[in-house]
Amino acid sequence: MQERSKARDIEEIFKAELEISKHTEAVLANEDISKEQLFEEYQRLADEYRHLLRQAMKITRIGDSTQEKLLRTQEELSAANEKLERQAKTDGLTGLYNRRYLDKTLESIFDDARRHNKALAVAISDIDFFKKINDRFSHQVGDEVLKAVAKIFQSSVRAKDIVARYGGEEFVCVFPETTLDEARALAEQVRHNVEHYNWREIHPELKVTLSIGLCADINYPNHEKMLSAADEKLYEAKHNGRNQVRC
Amino acid sequence: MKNLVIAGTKTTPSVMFDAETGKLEISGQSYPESALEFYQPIMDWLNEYFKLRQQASLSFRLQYFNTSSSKCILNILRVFEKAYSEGKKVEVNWYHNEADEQMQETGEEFAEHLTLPFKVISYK
Repeated sequence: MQERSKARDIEEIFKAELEISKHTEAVLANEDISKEQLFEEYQRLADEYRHLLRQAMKITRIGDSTQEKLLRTQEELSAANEKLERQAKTDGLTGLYNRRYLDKTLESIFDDARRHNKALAVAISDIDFFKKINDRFSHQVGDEVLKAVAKIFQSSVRAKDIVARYGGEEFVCVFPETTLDEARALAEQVRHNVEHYNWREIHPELKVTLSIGLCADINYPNHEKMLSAADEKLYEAKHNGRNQVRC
Repeated sequence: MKNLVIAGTKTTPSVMFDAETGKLEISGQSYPESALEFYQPIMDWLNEYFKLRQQASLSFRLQYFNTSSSKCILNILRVFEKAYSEGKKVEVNWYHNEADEQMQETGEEFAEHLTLPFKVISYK
C-alpha cells in the first residue's frame, strides 16, 4: 500500500511533464493537423526533452552528493562508536583495560575454563610503597610510575594475556590456558623487569618494586573468589618483605 | 575473448565476467568518484561479448550504490535487454540481503522497468 502511494507521489511531482505528453498525444490524434503545427509540436517536445535531461543530470548530481554526505556521516558515527567502545573498557592513564572490562572478561574466561577444564591463572599485583612515591616525589612522578609499570606488564607477558589496571596502584593479569608454573615464571619476569627498570629516567632517587599474588586454582565457585585467593597471596607477599611473587 | 576482472575497493564494486561460462557478477559497493570512468570498460566488454556470444547470466550482489551508479547499472541492463530482444539467452539475478528491503525494492524497480528475465533473490 505504502509502495503504491510512494509511486503516486512521484507521479504528482512530474505532473507538468505528464501533461505535456498527454497534450502531445492529443495533437497526434488530430488528423487535420498541418505540417507546420506538427513541426512546432516537435520543437516544443525537443526543448522539453533537453530540459528534462538537464534536470535529470542535476538530480543525479544532488543525489550523489547527498549520498556521499550520508556515507561520511555513517563513517564518522562508526568511528565515534568505536572510540567510545574503546574508552569504555580502557584506563585513561595507562591505556590498559579497566576494572570493569577485566571483571567481565575474567568471568567469561573463568566459566570457560571450568566448563572445559582448561588451565587458568590470575595474578594481582601492587606497587610497593606507592603512597610514599607520591608523597616523596610528586603525583606526576606517581603517574609516570603507573604508566611505566603498565608498559613493563605489556612487554613482559604474552599477547593472549589480559592486563588491567584494577585500582589505584593495583594491576591484574589474567593468563588463559596457563599452569601455575608458567604463570609464576611470567609473574617473576614482570617483577624482575620492574625492579630493574631504569627508574632514574623519571627521578634520580626513584626505586620501584612490585608484589604479586598468584592463583591458578579454578575450583572456586566463581571468578571473584579466585581473584580473592590471588589477593590473599598478594597480602602474603606484602607481609613477607614485598618485591616478590607468592602463590 | 578475455575475462573481465576488476578487484573491488571501498567505493567500487568487484567485477568478475567469465567469457567462457557467460557468468557475470558485480558485487560490493558502488559510489565511484566518476561512475562513467568506472563503468565504461564494463559496457565496452559487454558490447563486445554480445557480438560473439548468445547467452549470459548476470548477477548483482550490491550493498550500496549511488545515483550515478544506478544510471550506469540501467545502461548495463539495457544492453542485456537488447540482447534478449535479439533472441539471446540472458538472465539477470538481483541478490539482496534478506534484511536490506531497500535493495530488494531497487531490484523490483529495475525488473518492472525492463523486458527480460529478471529475478530478485534474497540471501541471509
